Amino acid sequence: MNRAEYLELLRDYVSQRFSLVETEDIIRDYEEFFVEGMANGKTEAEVIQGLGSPKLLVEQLVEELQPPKQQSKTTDVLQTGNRYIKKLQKKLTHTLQIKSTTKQLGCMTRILRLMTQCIALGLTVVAIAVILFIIMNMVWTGLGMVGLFIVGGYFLTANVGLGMVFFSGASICLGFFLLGLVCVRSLSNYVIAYIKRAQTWWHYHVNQAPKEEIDHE
Amino acid sequence: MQTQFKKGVLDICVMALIAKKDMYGYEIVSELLSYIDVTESTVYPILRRLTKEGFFTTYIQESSEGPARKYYQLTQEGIAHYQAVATEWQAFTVAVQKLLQEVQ
Repeated sequence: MNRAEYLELLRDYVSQRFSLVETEDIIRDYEEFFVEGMANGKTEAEVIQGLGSPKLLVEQLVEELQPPKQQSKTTDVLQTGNRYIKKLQKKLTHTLQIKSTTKQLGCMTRILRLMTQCIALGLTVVAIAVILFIIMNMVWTGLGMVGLFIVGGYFLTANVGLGMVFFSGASICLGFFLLGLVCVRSLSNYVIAYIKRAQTWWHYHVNQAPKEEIDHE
Repeated sequence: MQTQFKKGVLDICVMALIAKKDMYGYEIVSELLSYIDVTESTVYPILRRLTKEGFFTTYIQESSEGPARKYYQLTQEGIAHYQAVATEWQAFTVAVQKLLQEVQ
């Protein structure tokens, strides 16, 4: 097992017990630990040996932090979706594992992972579009009312407005509003988690300093 | 040493190190290892918990010659907590020392 595999496994275990954002933060810490360890002349294997199995590590984290028995699932629609996607991903890779050789597997798993991530990202974009649509609709309606007020004055606006709001608008708006609220809530977690992941990747994969070479001399 | 016993004490040790100066994870682990026999994996959860409890704040510092590091810093609350716990610990060890000597 190398560093990437270890951290991927760790992310899997951690995400089962912690929120998306916290998971990324935890992974960030261990990414840093790896980079520091290697800068101090350790090999990936030695760092892994020091840390112990990912499963045990997560147990220690849970024991220390004791999160309140998982978060309210009802609101985290996307997170649950993500979990399903992960399960599917695992099943797919498992089937492939039986069929193909190990070398091909690495490539195939990568492609699969990328595909499922693309699907998740696509869903996120769709959710954003839906929310934007709802917001735009609300703005439209509001602007329409203002226009109506300018042209028709109080009486007409009150008449039409009341009719719209009470007979059709209110229930639909409320429904969409709640849906939007739910989406925004889980979406913001999603977005923050992705930003964190990107930051970690930038700090410890792209932007790695030449310090290692100096230490090896 | 018993792990259960060591766990409580590790809190104090970690806080003592960070009270001196802001430190990053790897630094804390290796510094701690030079005093006490701990596994790497026990320290990070402790740091995370103490941060969550409001005793530490963290900030990430990018350096030109090293990787980005998350530094841990004691908060006002953390300083007060550390001082209280450290005094308590000192009184406790003195008492234990005394007991051991008198029993012998």
